[in-house]
Amino acid sequence: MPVNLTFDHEALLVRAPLTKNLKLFSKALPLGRTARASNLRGFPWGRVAFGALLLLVSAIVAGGVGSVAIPPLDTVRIIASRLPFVEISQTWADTSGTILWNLRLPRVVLAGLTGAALAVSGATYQGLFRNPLADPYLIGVASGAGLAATIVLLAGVPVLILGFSVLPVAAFLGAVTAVTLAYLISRNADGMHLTTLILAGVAITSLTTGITTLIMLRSAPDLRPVFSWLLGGFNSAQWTHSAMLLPYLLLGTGAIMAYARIMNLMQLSEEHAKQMGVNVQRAKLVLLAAATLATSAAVSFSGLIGFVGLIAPHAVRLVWGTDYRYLVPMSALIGASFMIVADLAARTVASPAELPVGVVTAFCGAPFFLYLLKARKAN
Amino acid sequence: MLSIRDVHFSYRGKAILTGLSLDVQDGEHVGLVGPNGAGKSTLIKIISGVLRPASGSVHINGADITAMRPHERARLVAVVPQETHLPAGMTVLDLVLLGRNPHMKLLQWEGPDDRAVAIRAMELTNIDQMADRYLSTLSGGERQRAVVAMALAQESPVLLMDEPTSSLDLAHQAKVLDMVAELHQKRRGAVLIAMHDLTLAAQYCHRLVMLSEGRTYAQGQPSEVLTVENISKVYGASVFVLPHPTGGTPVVVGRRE
Repeated sequence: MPVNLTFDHEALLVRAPLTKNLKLFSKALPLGRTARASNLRGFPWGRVAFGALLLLVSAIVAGGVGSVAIPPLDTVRIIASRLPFVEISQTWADTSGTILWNLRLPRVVLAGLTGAALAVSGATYQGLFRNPLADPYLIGVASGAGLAATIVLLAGVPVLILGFSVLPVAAFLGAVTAVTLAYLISRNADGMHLTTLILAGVAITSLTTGITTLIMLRSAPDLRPVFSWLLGGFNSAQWTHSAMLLPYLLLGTGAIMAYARIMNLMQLSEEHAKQMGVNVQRAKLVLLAAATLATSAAVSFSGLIGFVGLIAPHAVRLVWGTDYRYLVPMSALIGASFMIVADLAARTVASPAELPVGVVTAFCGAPFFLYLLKARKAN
Repeated sequence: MLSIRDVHFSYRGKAILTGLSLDVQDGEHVGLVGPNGAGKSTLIKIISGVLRPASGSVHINGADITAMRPHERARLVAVVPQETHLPAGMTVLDLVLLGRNPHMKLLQWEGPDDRAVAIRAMELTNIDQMADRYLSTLSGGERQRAVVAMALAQESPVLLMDEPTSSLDLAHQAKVLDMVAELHQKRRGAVLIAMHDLTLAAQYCHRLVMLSEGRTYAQGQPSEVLTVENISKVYGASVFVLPHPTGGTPVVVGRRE
């Protein structure tokens, strides 16, 4: 019985040299030992509290920074004053309140939810496909959404129908359609075959990207709206966007958390997981559907923001280990914080002009990822 | 305890099991032998629910396991598969605790009882000192014992093993098989173990079942099953069968043409 170690897996990252540095870091913070006997401690409330604190600080800082600076304490007070049952006497300028509540916070919250959705989906795809290079766009979400958005932006489809914006609905449907097609192709009598699913996703991605390019070449000279959507961003964020994304994120993350232990088991092999009492086909379907819906919902409001879904889960693995029951909630918190900070950079670095946030995540993300690859190779 | 009746199975039109019947009693340690393609691995996959038989029945303590939900079945049957992929960044204890899955609900976390079972399983397999080590730092034999411990943590009355020693060297083969025999003394239940090495199978199993072309060809004491005639007929190989210097179990040696 050859017992093979899956050396291509994320696990190797845990032992990469970076871990040493991060271990020092983790001693100073309530992070716990790196993945050691993690099961003996139950749910890691300390780490989740740390992640939540990080997220809160990112949000308050991002809310305060901009052409009109708002002190952190005022930010907290303005937010608190909007909560039900809280009475706070107003100590801030009216404009601060309006800017924070109507302009910055919708953006910060949408960025956070999007980052969380992409990071959770990335972690799930990596676990489902047992491939550390998987990201939420692996099997067609991005290209499907991209094609649908391009059609809407260039084909003269009305932007609003009955007061609803068409673009996010089209992008969502495009994303879900692409993955559903890949899924249907990968299905046979025994259920879904993951390698076929990836290959089908890659083929569908090529096809839809080709069609998108063709449409772009044959239409209006001004392609900036399309490029700006493809690169992603939060500059048109509204509270309603967050309200519509939130249910997908909560339901998706809830379903994935329910299957997190089973995802740990599925790291062994499908057959072994089956022998240990896992309904593997159902688990795969639930995980695929949950991650795909969360990603599609995120993408439909903010466009195609890369690297967050790939990097946030890896960063979490490096510090806290590979147990999916920790990995999923921590990825959500770290992904959300990273996206908020990236969006803050996007709107302040070149102020008053704004960079697409996808450019910022690529600038931070790509070097980090190359470093991970190098560290893995050196190991 | 384990009762298999007239099981048929074919894959892509090729008949693999053709009316196989087999019983294993509580406390028995049965070896499954036979040439490549005789159906040993297929039988193990059918008992463990990975494959469904086309016809026939598999019962454990009277319950039909083909009609069970996966986690119910996994409480009755644990498997040490022929090949496993172990994530390098997982600790031994985390791996062994995965064996508690059939006893847990979706959002449930391992409690003190699960931990106690896992620790006991690691003690039985003599890896309790390595509980906190990463799987990537273990030797082949140690990894093997961790996989056995995970199967033991399922606390199932039936334990199946598919070629558990095929990739180990001589010393580790003996170590793992000694451990399985010792375990079996301690926890009883039924053990069914598929083996290529006929000599080792004869040394460690109470009873051997020889499969040929998808059904049982012979079964009984190792000395009754491992005869020159049976081996020549089933394997198509001409061999010498000698008595083992200690214990007298049959030793099978190839005859050079």
